[in-house]
Amino acid sequence: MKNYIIKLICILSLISFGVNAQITKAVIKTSGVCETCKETLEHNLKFEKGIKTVNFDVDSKLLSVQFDQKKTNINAIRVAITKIGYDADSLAADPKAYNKLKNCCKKDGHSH
Amino acid sequence: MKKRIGLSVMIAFFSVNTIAQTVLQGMVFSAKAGTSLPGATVVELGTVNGAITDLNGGFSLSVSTHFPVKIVASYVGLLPDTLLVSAPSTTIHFSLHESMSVSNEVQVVAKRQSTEISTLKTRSVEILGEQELLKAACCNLSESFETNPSVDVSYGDAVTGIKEIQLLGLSGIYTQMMSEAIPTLRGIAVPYGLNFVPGPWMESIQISKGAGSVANGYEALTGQINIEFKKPEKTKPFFLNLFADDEGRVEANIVANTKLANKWKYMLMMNASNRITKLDQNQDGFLDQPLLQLYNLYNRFIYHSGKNLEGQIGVKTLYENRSGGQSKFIKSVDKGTTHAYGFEVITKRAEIYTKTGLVFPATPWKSIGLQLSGTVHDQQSFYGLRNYNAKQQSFYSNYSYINIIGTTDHKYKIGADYKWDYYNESLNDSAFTRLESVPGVYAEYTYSCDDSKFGIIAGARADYHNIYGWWFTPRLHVKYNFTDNLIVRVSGGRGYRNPNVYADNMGVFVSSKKLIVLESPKPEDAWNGGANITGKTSLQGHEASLSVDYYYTSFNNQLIMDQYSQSDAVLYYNLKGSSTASSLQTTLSYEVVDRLNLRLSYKIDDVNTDYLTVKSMQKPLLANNKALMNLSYATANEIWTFDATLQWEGSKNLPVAANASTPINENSIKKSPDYFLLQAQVTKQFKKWEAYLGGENLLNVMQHDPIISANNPFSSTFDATRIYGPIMGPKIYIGIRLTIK
Repeated sequence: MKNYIIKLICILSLISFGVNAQITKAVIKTSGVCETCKETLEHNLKFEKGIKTVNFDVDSKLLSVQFDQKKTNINAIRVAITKIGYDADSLAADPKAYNKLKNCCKKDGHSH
Repeated sequence: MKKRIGLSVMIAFFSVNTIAQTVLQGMVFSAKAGTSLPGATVVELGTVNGAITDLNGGFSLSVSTHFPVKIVASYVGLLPDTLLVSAPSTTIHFSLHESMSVSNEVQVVAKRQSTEISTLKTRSVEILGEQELLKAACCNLSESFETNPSVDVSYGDAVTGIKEIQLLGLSGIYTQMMSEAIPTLRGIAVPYGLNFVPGPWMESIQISKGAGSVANGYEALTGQINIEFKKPEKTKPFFLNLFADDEGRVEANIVANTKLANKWKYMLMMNASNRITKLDQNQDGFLDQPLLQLYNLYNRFIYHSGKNLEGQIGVKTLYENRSGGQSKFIKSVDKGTTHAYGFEVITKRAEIYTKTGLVFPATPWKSIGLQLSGTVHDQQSFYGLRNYNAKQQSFYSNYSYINIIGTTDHKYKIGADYKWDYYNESLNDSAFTRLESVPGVYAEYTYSCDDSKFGIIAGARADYHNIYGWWFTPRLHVKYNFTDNLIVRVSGGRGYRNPNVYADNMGVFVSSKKLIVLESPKPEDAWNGGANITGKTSLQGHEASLSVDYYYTSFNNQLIMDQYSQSDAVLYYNLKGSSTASSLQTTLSYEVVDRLNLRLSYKIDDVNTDYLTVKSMQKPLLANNKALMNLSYATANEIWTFDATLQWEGSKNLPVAANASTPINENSIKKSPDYFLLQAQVTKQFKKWEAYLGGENLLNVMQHDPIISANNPFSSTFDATRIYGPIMGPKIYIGIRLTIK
């Protein structure tokens, strides 16, 4: 029994929470159009370095992020968004990534 | 009305009214998967003017009326959506949500509760979503209810490792199991059947307590549990799950799907499960868990014509070999002797079903459906010196027609179904066969309207059973909304079931007790009534809900399995006197702080039966009082999720029989001690996969000596059925889930 508890504590202690983080908020306009875009954007962005929270609102196409300024910056996040296949403010989507998106996620929602 | 406005998205590109005929173009998508939906129906509301989406989910619809027009898109299994089009726009996008979701209400709110009771449905249906199912990482349907207070899970005996469920305090045999609305796991498949549905295959489980829908048959006495499997439209092309625990169990699951040519989609689900390690923690000479080999395969083909025909064909096959008993048992030497005690159950099962639906583009509220299914279930087994073999062949068909009376507020469903079952059982030298052939008809009327506080579902069915004649089954559900967030539901109805003396209670095979059937069993017949109050509120932006329900079941006849009246035998007979079960459950769900959810539940079950020699006794091995606390937490981006469940099981009556010197009654009967169970799980998400680690029975609670006379299993006192708690200590497991998009 003791062993199990020790095992469990060891594993839980591996989970480290960031300290000394400098958290900033930003809102980025993207070209996402649907629920799948929301899922794709949020899922891929949250694994980027320094990102704390991501929320994409389909109706307004606005993506709100909270990030640690010590680890990343807003331009890096914009670039990350273009690499997923979406426009980020004035930056255009990476064409290769854009072509890989599902049909419904393309800007006019049509297949070409 | 508020909801309707929320539902309708105003599209106003140009504010110019056009009178001439215009063509509206657009696409229909599944909200969850984001994929386009070919074969969806798009209709101009109030007219017969409609269109069907093409292979890419696109449509074009000519409308001649004055703008604005209301356009409805619908698709089988998804909620129809209405868009108000104010002007001729170039493209309209419909995004259809799952029919079980509450997405109508939720526009901005971020997360759905992992378990929820809808405030819209007339029936009280508890939905265990994918998030909830992930909390019980291992391994199959019998474990899916571990974090749910409504359904209890307990071991049937200390040898075969079989888990049983209970709803409203009564055995799982009184709950109708359904696989996507087709009745399944009936008859002899009931006791082992829960182990045959792998957890990672399931998308959601719907639990409805009390009377069920008459469209599914007369069998649901205490409720219905419907399993929705993963669907090709909503899953990624490939999913792999691997699992292992420190008790030697390994599992692999694959769920894959692909588009085939000609409007067909194909989905493959595979499961392999093995336990190869012999384990005897309590050193009673018996394996604590049986050795296991289970292979499970499900192929399904889904068809959308793009016009009005939808169909599905599924084939499920299964092989299981479950064996155990004394660790020294060697089948080739010891089987049929008293050298060592062993058991083995080999199950082979094949099931094929088809579903066909015909929809009418111009009238999306009308549809015709046909369900057909055929099953062969074969079990070859021995438990010590008891040999039990059983085979069941079943056929089921259900033809239904859905339409409205005047407006969509008044819907009706009528149908005819036919059930055919052939049972062939043998227990040692006795053999039994039984043929059941039951045609039936049903009708169900539904009143529901967004603007009305009332909802009613009234149904009735008549069946002609080839052995017992006519059965009449009425059922009623009423819902009343005091406000949008305070709902009362009341239900009542009758149910029948033809019992299987041996198959229903296979656990008693693992004892030396004689099985004495005093009279030929009659069909079981019970009335069930219940009420549920659900209230939801928001406390400082955090949702809280409180639900209280009470259900009462009263048997007109029940096949009684009596362990109180005779110490060396189990007696079976038809109910003499009364048998009732009442269940009161209170559940509180509350988001304490962002992403930290708490669920508290307390349940009181009172299952009172008159036995042959003792009247008014509680059902043995049932905890009358139970409590459950579940805490779940996710970090901001759900990269980490944590889940812990603490359960308390009150004391239970032990099935100790009376004898000449010590008569028993409810007060003097020996009771088991109460205990706590703790389980916890951590999941870490990575970009392409996730990993989880968890533990069960972390407080290390064990029932000592679960097997009576374990050292002398061929003596008259041997009994492995008196099991009230865990027989194994803590269990640690790990697993991964890999998804390829």
